[in-house]
Amino acid sequence: MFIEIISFGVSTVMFLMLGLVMLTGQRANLPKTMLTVASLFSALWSATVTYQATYGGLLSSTLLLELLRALAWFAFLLVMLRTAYVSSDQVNKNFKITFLGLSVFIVGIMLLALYRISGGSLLEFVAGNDVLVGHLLISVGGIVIVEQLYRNTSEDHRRALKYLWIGIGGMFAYDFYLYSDAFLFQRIDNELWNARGFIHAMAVPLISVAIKREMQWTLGEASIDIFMSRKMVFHTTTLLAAGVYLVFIGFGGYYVREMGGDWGVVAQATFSFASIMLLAVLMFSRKVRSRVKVYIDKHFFHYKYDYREEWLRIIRTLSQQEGDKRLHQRAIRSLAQIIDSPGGMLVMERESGFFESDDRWNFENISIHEPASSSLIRFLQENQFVISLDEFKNDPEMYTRLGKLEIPHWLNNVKDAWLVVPLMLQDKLVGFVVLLRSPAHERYFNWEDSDLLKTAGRQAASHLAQFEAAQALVSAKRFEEVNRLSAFIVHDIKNLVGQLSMVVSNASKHKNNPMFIDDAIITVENSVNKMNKLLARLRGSVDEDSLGPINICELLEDSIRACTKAGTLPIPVLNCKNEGMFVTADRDRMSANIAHIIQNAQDATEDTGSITVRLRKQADMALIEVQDSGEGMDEAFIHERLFQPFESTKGTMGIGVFQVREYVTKLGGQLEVESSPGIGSTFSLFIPLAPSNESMFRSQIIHLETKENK
Amino acid sequence: MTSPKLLIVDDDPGVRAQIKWAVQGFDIITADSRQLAIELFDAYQPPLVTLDLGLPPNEDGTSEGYAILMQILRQAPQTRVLIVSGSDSQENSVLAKKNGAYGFYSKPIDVDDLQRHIDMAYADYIKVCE
Repeated sequence: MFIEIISFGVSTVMFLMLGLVMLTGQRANLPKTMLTVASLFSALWSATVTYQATYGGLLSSTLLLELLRALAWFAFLLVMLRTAYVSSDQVNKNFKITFLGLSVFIVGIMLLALYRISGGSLLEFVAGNDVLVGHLLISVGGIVIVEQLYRNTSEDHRRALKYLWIGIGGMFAYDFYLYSDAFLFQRIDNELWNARGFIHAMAVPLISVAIKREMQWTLGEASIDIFMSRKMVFHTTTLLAAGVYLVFIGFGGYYVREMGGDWGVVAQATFSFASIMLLAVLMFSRKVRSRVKVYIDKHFFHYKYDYREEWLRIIRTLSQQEGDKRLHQRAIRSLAQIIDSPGGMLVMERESGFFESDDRWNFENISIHEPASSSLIRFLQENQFVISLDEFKNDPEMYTRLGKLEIPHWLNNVKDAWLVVPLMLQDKLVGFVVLLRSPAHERYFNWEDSDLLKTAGRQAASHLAQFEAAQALVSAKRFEEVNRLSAFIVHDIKNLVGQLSMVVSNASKHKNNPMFIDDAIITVENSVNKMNKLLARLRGSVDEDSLGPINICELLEDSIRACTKAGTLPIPVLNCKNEGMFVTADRDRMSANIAHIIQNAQDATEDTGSITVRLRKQADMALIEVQDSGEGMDEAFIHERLFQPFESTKGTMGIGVFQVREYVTKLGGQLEVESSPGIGSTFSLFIPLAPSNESMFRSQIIHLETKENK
Repeated sequence: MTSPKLLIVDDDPGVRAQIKWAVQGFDIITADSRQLAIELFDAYQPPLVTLDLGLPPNEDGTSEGYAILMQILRQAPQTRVLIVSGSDSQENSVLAKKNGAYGFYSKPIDVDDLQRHIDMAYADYIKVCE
């Protein structure tokens, strides 16, 4: 009796103080009010228990107050929990339903309790089975709600609010223990009951710490969304644990009841010892321990990383061009940043099938030549697993369980080598990154680092693969170009050889005829010209363009002249709105490109049609429009075929629109096409104007020169 | 008697000059464009024509050559037109014959070989006309 008085007396005083402190606070709002109410109910209940322990009687009000107290705490927890639901009406409704349900439940238990009230001591009465179940359910409900609150509290607020959840959760957990024990033995254990006052009192300091640390939550609904994470997730770990525990207890209880008598104590002792043994076995098994640790890490702690931030940083590092740093180096850095590694080395698979060092970042200059058949490569390929060399050293079995793994010498010799991250593309290992240990702070490496590194490795691998594909495409294009060029050359040389061999053949019959000699010279001269052209063409494809300011209007005149020389119709009409415009380009290439567009227009247009070539200034660009009244092109043709390299409707190998666009783009300009079938097409070439003072200067010189020539 | 006329249509002056000397037994006239070819054909009505398909402004294509072929055959279907082309694809050869050409000769030109082709074409012409 004495212990009970002290225990619940302490509880009364503590909760009363908490309640009073809360009452004196400045602002009142719903969570705060609810906490105050709950504290005061706790105080009142503890007081009645104390009173009853001292003087006896008061049984029914004690019981009712205990239930009211529980309801008050539920109300507080639900108000807190609702804060996470604020955003949607649906969950608001859910909240109301939940609260209503709980209230009905608790009131039901109250009525049940009232109904059963009869003489006898409190402890005997409470031990009535149905009321016990009610208490048990209330305590389980409390723990479950606290779990939801704890796990949905955002990282920032968890530091402070965890004390609140531990305090309240502790009360419910103890009640759960108390009532499950009572349920098992069909009586409330005196010692456990007596301790209850102390245990509940212990919650008060924890709650106070939370209030002191984080006043924000008392500020009401306005700040509510700050400390609850946006995505409420229903967690069931405690529910599961409570269930498992009850089943366990149930078995124990059944056993004790069945064996009964003398066996009761023996069974209880065995049962207890067995649990302790089981716990010990679990504690000492590294595997189980690490599994439990991972489970707890995954479920009860917020992630080590802010994934959004990390991901943005990885992508930024991978995609940003920083000076002349290669993508490969950035790939290393994007992985190293994640775990504060000071450096790393990228090893990529080569065509030879070997994995060779590719690039390094703050990493010693060693060269790697790792065969694809080595156990390291195979391990990475098969398990797609980040290897921690520390872990491997301490517990090689952890890895070798998954497959054979021997760390190669070069890797063992790298000072401070820490992690090996596989770079997977689809399911193929394309390389790996060796990262160095961070010297500043020892970092605990866990599943989360591993998962993030693995995923980041995939991202890096796809960037690298894209880069290499682009490179391969460029060289394929170059190869294609060379191929095309050699086709031209073969064709031209074949013609030349043909002519010259004809000269030789004819010479055997006509070499004494002076007229033949004249024709032979014409032929040779023609061949020489052709060879020079060929040479020029070859050189043109190799040499840089000779850039210079070109007067566009003049250039257009020339191009039109070239296109109409052979009598081709229709003759384009030139309309230069602005005559003194200059662009910087290679004159011959520019002319050839424009001529190509004009020829296309001529080909597409009936001889009686019309072609207009317009030139005007648009912003700082010269705009050349070639408009025809030809057959036009449909959208599909423009999108799919017009700009395809090596695509031609004429079966020729002349420069295509593709090349015109390439050239115009190279000059910093743009080529646009508008067309409607049956009406005609307009090709618009935007070409940046030459810097104005320069063109002015040049045109002045030309002007002066023409004057002098005159 | 005057030799029969042979019209050589080719945009390459070297080729024109050399065919002139390579082929014997004919009075040779040459043209380097569609326009000139048609004019000369109208003027002389040659029984034989050697025709290069790729002429300006479409040197890389075949459109000019086929245009000349059509026009000649429309005016004088009995004319023997020998296509002399830089392309040696089977496809072009078939196409040329389908369009009414007498024969298809791939460059480079072998002097004696060309002479044989031309003689055969002329013999064929004589046979048909008689």
